[in-house]
Amino acid sequence: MKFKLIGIIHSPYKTREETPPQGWFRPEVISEIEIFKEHEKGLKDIEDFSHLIVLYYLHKSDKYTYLVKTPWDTRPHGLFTTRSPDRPNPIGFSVVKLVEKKGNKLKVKGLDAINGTPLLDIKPYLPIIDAEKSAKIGWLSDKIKTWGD
Amino acid sequence: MRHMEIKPIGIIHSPYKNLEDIPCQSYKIEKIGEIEVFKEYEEGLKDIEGFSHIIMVYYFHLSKDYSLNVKPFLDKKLHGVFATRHPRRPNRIGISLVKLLERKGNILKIKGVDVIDGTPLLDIKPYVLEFDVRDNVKIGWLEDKLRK
Repeated sequence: MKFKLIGIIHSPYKTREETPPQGWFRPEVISEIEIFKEHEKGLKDIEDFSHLIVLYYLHKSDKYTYLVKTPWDTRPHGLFTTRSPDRPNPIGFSVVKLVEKKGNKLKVKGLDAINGTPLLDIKPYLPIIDAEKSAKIGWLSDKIKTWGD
Repeated sequence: MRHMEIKPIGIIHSPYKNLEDIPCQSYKIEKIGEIEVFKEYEEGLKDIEGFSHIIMVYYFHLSKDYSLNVKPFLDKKLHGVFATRHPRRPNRIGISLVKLLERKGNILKIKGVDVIDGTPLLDIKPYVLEFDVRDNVKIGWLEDKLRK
């Protein structure tokens, strides 16, 4: 199974170190998603959605380990309880705000991808299936609440 | 650039054996299924039981080709494939938010499964309210279909 390159993400983040661990940290930063011309037709009607799910290939990812130390915690946690880019299938997932569509380019806010990241897919964000306000978040719970204190 | 190759890390077991069995309005699905994460990846599940919801990332393995304009299940009109959740996409990646009911070793019992039995699992991500919930969302052509 192989992915196809359908576009490129242009972002102000040049290195892995510069890139925030989640768009949540830099919600106002603007990136541009360029969909290759041959796939432009697939964007029809997308401008009517305010939020999108962007899936991308984490091309700068490294070897993965099953227990991972995250920026949140000194204790390691299971890889699948983290959003670490180093995973068996390095697929990135971000919910972003769509600011503007111009032809085959989408201006978005809150994406956490490095400049030059290969785009895999774009899906409309639908609260009815994508938002769950009652979600419990295990070990992350205390860390997020006290972040920045 | 390295080849963007992917491999299944598990299998999703679902009560839906055929495509026709999956209801169009998949947001109403409360069916129970199981994610079987292959044994070699089991250690990566440590602490997952503390999360109530997870994002399954999977491969639409029955989708043979793609189209840039698709007729979604909820509409008669054609829309750009990226403005839909249709499986016929250039990269056949599906995502679903599901409720985690129980973990037994490498098996996760989940609620809200809307995929066909035997779907290859690509990734599991923790669902985090702060990262993944948005308010004041506009949903384009789906507005009338979902909010009626």
